[in-house]
Amino acid sequence: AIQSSRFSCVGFPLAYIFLACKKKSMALKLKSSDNKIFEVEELVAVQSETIKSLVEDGCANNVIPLPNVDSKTLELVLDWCKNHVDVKLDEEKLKEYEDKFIEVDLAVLYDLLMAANYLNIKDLLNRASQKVADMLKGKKPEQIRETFNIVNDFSPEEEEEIRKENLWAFEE
Amino acid sequence: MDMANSATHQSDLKHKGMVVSISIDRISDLPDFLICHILSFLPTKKAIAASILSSGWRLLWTLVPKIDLRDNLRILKTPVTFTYIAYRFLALHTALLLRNFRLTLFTPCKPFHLDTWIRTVIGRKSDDDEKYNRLCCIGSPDGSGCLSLLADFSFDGYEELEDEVEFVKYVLNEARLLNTMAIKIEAKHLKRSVLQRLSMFPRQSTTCLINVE
Repeated sequence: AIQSSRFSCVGFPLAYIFLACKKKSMALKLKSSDNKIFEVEELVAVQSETIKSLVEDGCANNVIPLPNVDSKTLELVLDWCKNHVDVKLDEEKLKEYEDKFIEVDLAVLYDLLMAANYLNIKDLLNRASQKVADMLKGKKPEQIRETFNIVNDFSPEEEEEIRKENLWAFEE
Repeated sequence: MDMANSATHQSDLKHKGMVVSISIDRISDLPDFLICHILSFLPTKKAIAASILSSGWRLLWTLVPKIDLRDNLRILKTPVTFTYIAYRFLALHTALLLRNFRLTLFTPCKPFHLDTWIRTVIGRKSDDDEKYNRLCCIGSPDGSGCLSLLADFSFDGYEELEDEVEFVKYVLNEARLLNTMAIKIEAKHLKRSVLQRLSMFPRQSTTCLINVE
């Protein structure tokens, strides 16, 4: 439906439209949940498998709505994508970029995780997950609860029971 | 260790302000599969330990798409055997998707057990780019037939002891789907001769690459 309405609005010959679509690294328009429009190169945007399949299915001619990603997060995600267009780039520099990129508040980290999952950007999802995993590492349960603000809803007896079930896992 | 502790402490401090300002438990609000994905970046033991955090976390370890069990019980105080742990773990672990399966054995284990464990996980789905679950063994099971699905094999601290050579030979001869065999040796100058020797052994897999580092 999107395509046909586009064709009827724009009075150009079909061939011209096809040429325009086939052009390398066409710009795509992405709309965040708070209705901000981001114009990005196709090469950047298609690092999201979700967007890539939209493009491949020819559904990317108009604005692509991304109702699950707010503009603040999308801006970050697109910055990540821009820096990962050519992965053959200097590996060290890329790692440096990634390490700096992921040094964010927990709230932002969660947003990134959700966005990377929704947009299906594997390397970002993995890097964000790794970051959270690193924060879980080497901490006692109480410290983890404090860091992530997890409410312990076990009674001391229940907690003892769970600990007993897999005692070996709780040894350092 | 001290360094790590102080780093942890620092990040604790850094996030304390955060905790107050958001004051909601957002990590537990993530979908289970995302938490499981996060847990898959930790050794399985740590994922199990996370069960104590809250009721929402209690059974998440059974769904983590990675198994990385290490037989480092010699240093543990708990009087259980690795065999017991592995059986119990595999009986409770129900993740349908399994990206990575790794058992690290430091002491020989009966091939019968190894075979049972591998059979337990063979049916699990794996990502398409990683067709076969990965298994890594260090140790010396002495049976046969249980390595038919082994895709990657690594051996740290290879010293060309007779047992070790026999074990590696056994793996090469049994694992028909082996893709890579990574042997890590201490004596770097022996790289070439080790590789030469290993290359002479009969190989079941036609696509196996041997790396000696």
